[in-house]
Amino acid sequence: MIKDKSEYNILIIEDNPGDLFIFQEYLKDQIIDPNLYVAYNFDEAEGLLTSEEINLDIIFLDLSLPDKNGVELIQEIVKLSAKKPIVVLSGYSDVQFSIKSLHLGISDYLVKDDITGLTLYKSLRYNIERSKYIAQLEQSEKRYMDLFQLSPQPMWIFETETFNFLDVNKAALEHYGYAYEEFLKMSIYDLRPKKDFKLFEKYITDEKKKNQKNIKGFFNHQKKNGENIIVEITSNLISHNGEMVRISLANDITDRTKYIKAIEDQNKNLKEIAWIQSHVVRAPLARLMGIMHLLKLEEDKKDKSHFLFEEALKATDELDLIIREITEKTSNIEIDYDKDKI
Amino acid sequence: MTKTKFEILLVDDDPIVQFLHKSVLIDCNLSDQKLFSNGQLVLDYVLENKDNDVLFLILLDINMPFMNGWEFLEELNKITFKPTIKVVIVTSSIGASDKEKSKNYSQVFDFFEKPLENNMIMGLKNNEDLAPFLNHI
Repeated sequence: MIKDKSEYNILIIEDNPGDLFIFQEYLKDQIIDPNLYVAYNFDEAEGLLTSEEINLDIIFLDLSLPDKNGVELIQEIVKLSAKKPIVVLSGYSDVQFSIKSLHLGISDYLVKDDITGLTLYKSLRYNIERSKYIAQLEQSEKRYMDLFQLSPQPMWIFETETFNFLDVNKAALEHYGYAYEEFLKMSIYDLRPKKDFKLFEKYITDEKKKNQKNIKGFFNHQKKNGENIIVEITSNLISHNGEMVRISLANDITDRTKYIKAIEDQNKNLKEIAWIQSHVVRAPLARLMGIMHLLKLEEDKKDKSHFLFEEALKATDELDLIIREITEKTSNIEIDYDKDKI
Repeated sequence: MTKTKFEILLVDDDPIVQFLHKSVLIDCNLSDQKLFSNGQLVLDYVLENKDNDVLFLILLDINMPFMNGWEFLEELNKITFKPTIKVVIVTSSIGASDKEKSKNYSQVFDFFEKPLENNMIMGLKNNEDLAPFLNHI
């Protein structure tokens, strides 16, 4: 038979020397070199479980020890186990109790009289693997919660029928100024200025919107201190504790919007200046140039043209060139306004 | 569009410009032209004389009171029986948008930036409709 070469740290808590001997032999049959720790009572078990030098993979626990038994024993061991899998070894009389104990944090139970080397080994492998898997799941869930909690942008989860908040992150508390407890008593309506209620109700209760997985839009929000802000909300339908809820991300674009508005205004002014340059300023210049043109025809008939006249001609041409340059520059400023419209 | 008669209509609200344009035309041996100070006046004149077998060459300013150059061209488009009209826009505007806009009107065949100069008028001879009336310049 091929034996398992992996390294296992196994604690057996068992006061019956006969049972203990059998279990130890079974394990040695399947595993080449198991590190077996033994406790004959709760006191010894506590000592081993609290030792920092021992990093256990699994705990086998007999339910009746001389110094503790039953529910109390299970609760104490679970508390000390640091989430390592616990497999209960029970007698026939304890089977019903063993089944119930599963919800106290026990991973598995084995009926002593039915145990063979193979079932014991199988239970060991299965429960170690399962506990690793659960730990991974918990870690991954924690990572996602961190992503929510530590996001630098305000986020919240709300119920899709009542629109009440189910959870909010730290950034949302900081940005809107409400305490966590206050938030949980509010609905997403309470983030909006009163004048927007009707419009928002129409928006959010729209059947098509309700079932749409991803919603994105721009809204007016109001902080606790009454300050109005403009936010870009991205919201997704997700399953949360078995219910369909929405998770929303709020991006405050108040400053950006103000900035765009300022640029738009400035751009409008620039266009006006361009128009004035092109039409109003150039009109008298064109007239002046026309006069110069006629005068030149007169001048050309004389033998010698006057120095001052030549200079005046140059000056009007120069002015014309300048106005043309300004007009060309300003006409290049064309922005697609609709792109960032709110 | 063979017409036997030919008339030049100068449309500009600025008296100095009217004088300048007239002077340039006279200098080019085109002594006979009529003056109008807005679009409405020239429109009325054209409508009154549309049956007279005349080819009108209109030198049209854009910015004018009452009816500007664009409005005049729009009005012209609404008329079902069209007088024979060739329009040159003569404007102090140097914005590219005005030049682009003028291409939307079929009667407009050229776009001059002020000041109007002799060589621009000479260039009109290249238009085959106008050539028979301008070969003396």
